[in-house]
Amino acid sequence: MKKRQFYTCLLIMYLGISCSPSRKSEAYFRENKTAIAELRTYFNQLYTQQPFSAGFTDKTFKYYVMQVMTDTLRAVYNNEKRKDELWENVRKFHYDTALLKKMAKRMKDIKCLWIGKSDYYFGEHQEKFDYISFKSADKAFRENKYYMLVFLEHRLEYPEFQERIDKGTFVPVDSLVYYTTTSRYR
Amino acid sequence: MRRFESLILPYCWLTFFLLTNKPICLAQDDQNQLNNYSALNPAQQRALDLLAKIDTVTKPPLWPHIQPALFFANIRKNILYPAKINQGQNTNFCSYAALTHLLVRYQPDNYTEMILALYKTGQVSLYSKRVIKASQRVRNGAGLLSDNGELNLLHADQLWFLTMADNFRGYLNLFDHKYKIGDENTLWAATNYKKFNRMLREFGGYKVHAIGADLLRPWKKKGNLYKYMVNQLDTGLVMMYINGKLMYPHKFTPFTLPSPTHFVVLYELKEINKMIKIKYWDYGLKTEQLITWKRFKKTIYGVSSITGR
Repeated sequence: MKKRQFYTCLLIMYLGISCSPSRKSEAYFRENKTAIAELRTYFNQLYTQQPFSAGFTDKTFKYYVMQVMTDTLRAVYNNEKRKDELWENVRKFHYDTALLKKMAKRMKDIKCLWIGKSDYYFGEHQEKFDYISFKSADKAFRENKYYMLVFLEHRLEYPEFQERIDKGTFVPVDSLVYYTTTSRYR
Repeated sequence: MRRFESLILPYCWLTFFLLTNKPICLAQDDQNQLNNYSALNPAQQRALDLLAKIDTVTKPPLWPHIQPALFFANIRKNILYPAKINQGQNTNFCSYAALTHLLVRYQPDNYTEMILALYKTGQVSLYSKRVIKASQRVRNGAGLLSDNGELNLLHADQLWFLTMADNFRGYLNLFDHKYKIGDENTLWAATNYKKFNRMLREFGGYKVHAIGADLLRPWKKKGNLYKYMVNQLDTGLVMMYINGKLMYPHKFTPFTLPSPTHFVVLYELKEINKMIKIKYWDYGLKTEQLITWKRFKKTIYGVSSITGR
């Protein structure tokens, strides 16, 4: 009887650990480390041409969206309804189409849902970061259902940031790479 | 038809002039206005003159956490770049930001007078003669928002949005009346459609014609709704109450709750190859995208048109 209880506890602990999102994110990052680095290189090269973010809108990675930002405008293009319009605008903003295709292929390979840049304010300091979201938990009523990797530009020493790490909002997975969950994938 | 146009066009221009207080085109970008500083319209000049006369250094006794330098820099930026007004991240301030965007764009002098009165005395008289007061809790909270992106540094917007949310209450705010830090993202700050239209009337003195409701979409067929909105755009300003999630559709969740979530200012609506090109303002930028007729019908819950003052 005691043996049975012991094995049940062991099984529960195993399931708890294997299903934990931080383990999943860490495993995802380790498995795709090179591909993620390449993806970020492509993205940052294209971003210097004109700021944008991009990603997929379905689980089969067939439909994609590109959101191009200018000083006054946020233009959203997708290939689901108007493919021509998307490519017209890619040309209009002088993006390197070969590089863009490479980036899209790399995203599809590693099942990355979205890539973009964002920022966070600590007091008066603005800290920019890249992020990729890569998986949605298949649980309909879960609030934070998208896994996200955050890539910092440099080490952050703010107490507020350390507080978030202590609380588990940001979990370090590598040097300058953190994992988090969010309610939105983009 | 020509006779109709000759009658209606002068009326449109008159209405437009009265609304905007300036004879320039609606579609003109803020940036273009600023290429030449003298191109600022008279209302903007008056607003900047008001700022020039005020003490911008002394800490305000009523607002212990507002920093004067950040406060005045924020007002100046709003006057010069009304399209850049941003509700911040993780907030329910979209209705207040949309209203402020309109107010600053078309009545920057009135906006400046109002926000300076609030800063100096903790209360302000609106166009409707109603006096709104900043509660002690709001006065202590303004300047302390810390998890809201750029809004952390925009002390004038913090003071303004918090005071608006604290004074205008709708049924969504029934259970959360007293502000505490963190309420920016809760029902305390939420806005229902009736409350939004009331704010439009009281702040700007606008005549508002509204169709739609909180849970029921406007009772018009999609073609008619489109024509109605285009007509309203031709004669005045249009705001939409939409389901924001449907503007960015994806297939990662099985369903999207059919309810409105967001207020935006409409700038352009055009039919292109059986789709609708829509341009609207929110989060400090104009967004341009193509949507299907079906999505157009499903997304829009309310259309508020300003037809005069």
